[in-house]
Amino acid sequence: MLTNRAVVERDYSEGITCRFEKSFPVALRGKIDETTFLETINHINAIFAKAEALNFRAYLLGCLSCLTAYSSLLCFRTHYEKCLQDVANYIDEQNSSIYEARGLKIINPMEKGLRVVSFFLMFTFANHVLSSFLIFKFTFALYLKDVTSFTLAN
Amino acid sequence: MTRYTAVMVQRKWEIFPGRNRFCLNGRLMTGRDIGLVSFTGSLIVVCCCLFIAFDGVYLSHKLSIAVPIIGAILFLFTLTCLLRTTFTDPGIIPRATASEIAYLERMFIVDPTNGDGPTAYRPPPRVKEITVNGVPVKLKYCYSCKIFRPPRASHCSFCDNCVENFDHHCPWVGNCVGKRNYRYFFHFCLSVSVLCIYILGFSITNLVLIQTVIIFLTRRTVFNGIVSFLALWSVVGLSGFHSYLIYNGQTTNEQASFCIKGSWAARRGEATSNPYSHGSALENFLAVSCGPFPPSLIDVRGTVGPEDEEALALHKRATAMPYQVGL
Ligand SMILES: [Zn+2]
Ligand SMILES: [Zn+2]
Repeated sequence: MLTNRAVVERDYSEGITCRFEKSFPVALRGKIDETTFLETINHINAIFAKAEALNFRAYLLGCLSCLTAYSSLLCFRTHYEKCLQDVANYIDEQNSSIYEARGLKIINPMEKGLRVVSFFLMFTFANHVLSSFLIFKFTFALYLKDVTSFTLAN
Repeated sequence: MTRYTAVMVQRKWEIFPGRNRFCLNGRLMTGRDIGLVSFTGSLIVVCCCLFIAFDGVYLSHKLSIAVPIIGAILFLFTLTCLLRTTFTDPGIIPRATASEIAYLERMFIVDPTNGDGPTAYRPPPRVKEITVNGVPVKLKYCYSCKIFRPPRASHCSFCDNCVENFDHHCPWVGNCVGKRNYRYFFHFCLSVSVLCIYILGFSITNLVLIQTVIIFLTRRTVFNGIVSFLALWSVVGLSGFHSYLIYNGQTTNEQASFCIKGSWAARRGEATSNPYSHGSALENFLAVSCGPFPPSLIDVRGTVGPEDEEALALHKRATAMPYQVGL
């Protein structure tokens, strides 16, 4: 089945803070290796973990804005907003340095209400040839494996 | 030409699917009915102004200048919290985009090998089972928003939106209370309780101090005292209830459903703790009162693009035929 995007959904197993699943989507197979993918997802997760961390710094900032009757929110960007900017910058940087060369584009999770990180598969001609080649290689490998196992069994 | 297109630009709040009001070109948003919140707001403003202008000034001569000043600070804080609760996005989850609907539709295609023929579609599965901190949780599919609601989210029937950490829709503040404005709501409850006690206390003090005959002053003081006395019961009760919820790390919505279905423990038949609690009561309190400020997920000030129009059309079509998604 041809899909033009791969999605990585939210992982709620450790609470409802913003984390994305680390399972490698099938649609990305052959486009990018799993370690690069994991690196990207882990980095995004780490930024969100920093944004939502409940530590002394977060409490202090929260207390200060409460003491100013939340007027400080009108003047300064919140820690979370800065982290979202980091996520956007990181995704841009990753797209231009790694993903675009392989016909992929990461879509910022903020565009989908933090539900998913999606990977847009750009259907260029080269990409198409590459994927056909990979399918061919895969089938051929299966065939070879079958043949070998068959010959071995006999 | 460029200037002309700039004028024609359509913002996303203009086609927002929920029943919300937007002010200042989408900078502020609130619920549909603002009748009761105007009443709440004006009651607080009138009572406080009367208190500060008359009792406060009188008591500043008799007792201390701090009486009207502390009163004014409390009043401003309460009013800010009320306005923040009313005009903040409560944590609305945007509805599925056109590509997400397409993705879901593909998943709903019934496999032709086991049943209804190649073109059959089945309605979306109603629930998705996951575990949160080891506790099984069901994610319900929202037919209006076309998404699996995140844990703790619920669809507000007044506003027609899914809201993160949905607590309840509060008509007194005219908005849903959810992830993004629960802090303001809780602080509003607390500060309005303190304000009521403060005004009631000093109204009584004033009446005791005057005792004599300045009838017009007394009448206002009695009015203030009665209003704060009446408000006190509900407001202190509400603060107490929400403090209890925060102590347990629950939302009103969960508390209400527990009354029907039983608690976390009863659900599994063994002792399990609340998976959303941060640990201790103090941590829950700090997380609610001073935690990070989550961002608004709906980009209401963004310009409408072709994908938004497509999504809107898909949502409209799906509402007309709820079980025919994808046909
Ligand atoms: Zn919904
Ligand atoms: Zn609502």
